[in-house]
Amino acid sequence: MDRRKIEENIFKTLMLFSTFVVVGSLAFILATIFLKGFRALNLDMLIKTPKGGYYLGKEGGILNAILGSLILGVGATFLALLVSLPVVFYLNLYLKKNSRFALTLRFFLDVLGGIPSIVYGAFGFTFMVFFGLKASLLAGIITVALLIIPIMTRSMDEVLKMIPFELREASYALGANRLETSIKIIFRQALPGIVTAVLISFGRGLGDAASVLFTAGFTDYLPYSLFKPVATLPLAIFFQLGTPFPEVQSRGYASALILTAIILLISVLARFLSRRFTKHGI
Amino acid sequence: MGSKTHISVKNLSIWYGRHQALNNISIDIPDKKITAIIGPSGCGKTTLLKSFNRLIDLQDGVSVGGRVLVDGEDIYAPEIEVTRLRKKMGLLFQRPQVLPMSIYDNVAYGPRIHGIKDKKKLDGIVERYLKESSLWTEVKSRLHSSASKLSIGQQQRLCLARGLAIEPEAILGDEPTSALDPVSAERIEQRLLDIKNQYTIVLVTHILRQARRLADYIVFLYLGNLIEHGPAEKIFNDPQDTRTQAYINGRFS
Ligand SMILES: Nc1ncnc2c1ncn2[C@@H]1O[C@H](COP(=O)(O)OP(=O)(O)OP(=O)(O)O)[C@@H](O)[C@H]1O
Ligand SMILES: [Mg+2]
Repeated sequence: MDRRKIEENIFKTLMLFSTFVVVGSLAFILATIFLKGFRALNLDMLIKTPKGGYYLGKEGGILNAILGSLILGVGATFLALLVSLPVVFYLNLYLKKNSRFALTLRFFLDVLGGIPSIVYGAFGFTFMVFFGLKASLLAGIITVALLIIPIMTRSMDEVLKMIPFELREASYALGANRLETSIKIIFRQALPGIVTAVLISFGRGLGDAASVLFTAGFTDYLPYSLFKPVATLPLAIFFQLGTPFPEVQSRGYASALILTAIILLISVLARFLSRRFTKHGI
Repeated sequence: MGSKTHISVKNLSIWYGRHQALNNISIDIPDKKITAIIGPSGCGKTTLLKSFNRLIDLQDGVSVGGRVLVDGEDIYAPEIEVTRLRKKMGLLFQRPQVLPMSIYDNVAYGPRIHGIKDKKKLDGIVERYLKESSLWTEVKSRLHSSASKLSIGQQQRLCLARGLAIEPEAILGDEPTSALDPVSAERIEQRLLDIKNQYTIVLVTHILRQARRLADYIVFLYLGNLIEHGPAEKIFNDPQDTRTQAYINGRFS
């Protein structure tokens, strides 16, 4: 065999190997939580709150955490969206492409996105202490919103950057102003990407434990007030796996399975929706 | 010239950052005629065209010196409303850029922005301008399907309809046929000739034959300078400047 062919084969093997590592580890993770969790998984897990004996209950379910996570996630995503959308449109339509302010803003967002979530948790906690708030759904929503704003903003920013400049020019040339161009053209064209960005951020918010540890607290009750603590799935998993009792531990894996299933569902939904919305896309 | 001036350019210079793209240009663009801007690549044709509806404002670090008068009004004066100015000019790009919506909505986009809400009226406008850009028969049965599904040639005619629908006084075309197949290009050319007694048309073109076919008036730019301008027969048959002669004879492009 000649040298070029050998080189090509070496690289092909390397690429295959790396691909295998990615796919394999995903499969391995899924298999582990499934094998360890599925025996503890039953309908009660999904529709009941924790009951009976042990810490966090050996009976009942984790409905408190499922509902808590979903409500907290939706609230935080909504709050983050209220901040991210204007920022992203300001960055892309009102600022010139290479304006120093735009570059600085993107840099800040990248730095914020790189800060570990425990730091957001600590910040949220300090903030709560300062205002005399207790661990609550509201504090959790605000902290998780802060955590996902940079991710959401930057992923929507990438979507908007991809939109051809000529499309904006075409709208302006017809006498549209920036607001009309933003809403009727750019938003429409970017909608699939925006939906994906929102769902990814939602997933990120759902899965994070460190940011809600001090801020949202934990409770066996279903969420009923913005100002009371709320249970979340990542913390339920954390506490269940942390107990010395094998029954509760396997319930921890079952909870992990539920969380993973929810995240997976969101990813599928993101794909599906982004395809739906591309109807008139160019 | 026997025709009144529509767009009057006076000592116009344009810089991108430190790079000067246009140097002290003065020309009068006649009303209801086809004016072709010709010249080699990078000489500033697009820049000049986009200065007429201030689309040039969108570029990074651009600065403008001198004046452009449209209907005698200085369009770079601070009190000018850019959206109103742009409504006076329909623009065709090199590559047709349809909006991410249906064929109908593409044509109705401009009129809606400028305040027309009545469905019947919009229907009328859409039909009229799709006919005027000779696209109607091809799309009348699928007005509500995506504009992006049309062929490139159809898209460019849609862009023409969209531009006409804002009822402009002038049509600006930046090499509007260069991305099209010969048949589509010919149709666009024919439409421009058909409507030229209603609009002032300014056409940037690379194709000398196209300029010969269409233009009443020629503007020749070279390296950001205005070299020569005048009636088409004069420029083509008796160019004064050696650079114009060289360009017309295809010695550089
Ligand atoms: N946004 C910009 N920033 C910096 N320089 C630019 C920009 N746009 C154009 N230029 C420069 O200005 C000069 C004139 O450009 P312009 O696009 O007007 O030329 P043109 O005659 O339309 O060329 P072509 O026939 O290739 O389209 C060129 O040297 C070009 O490189
Ligand atoms: Mg050009």
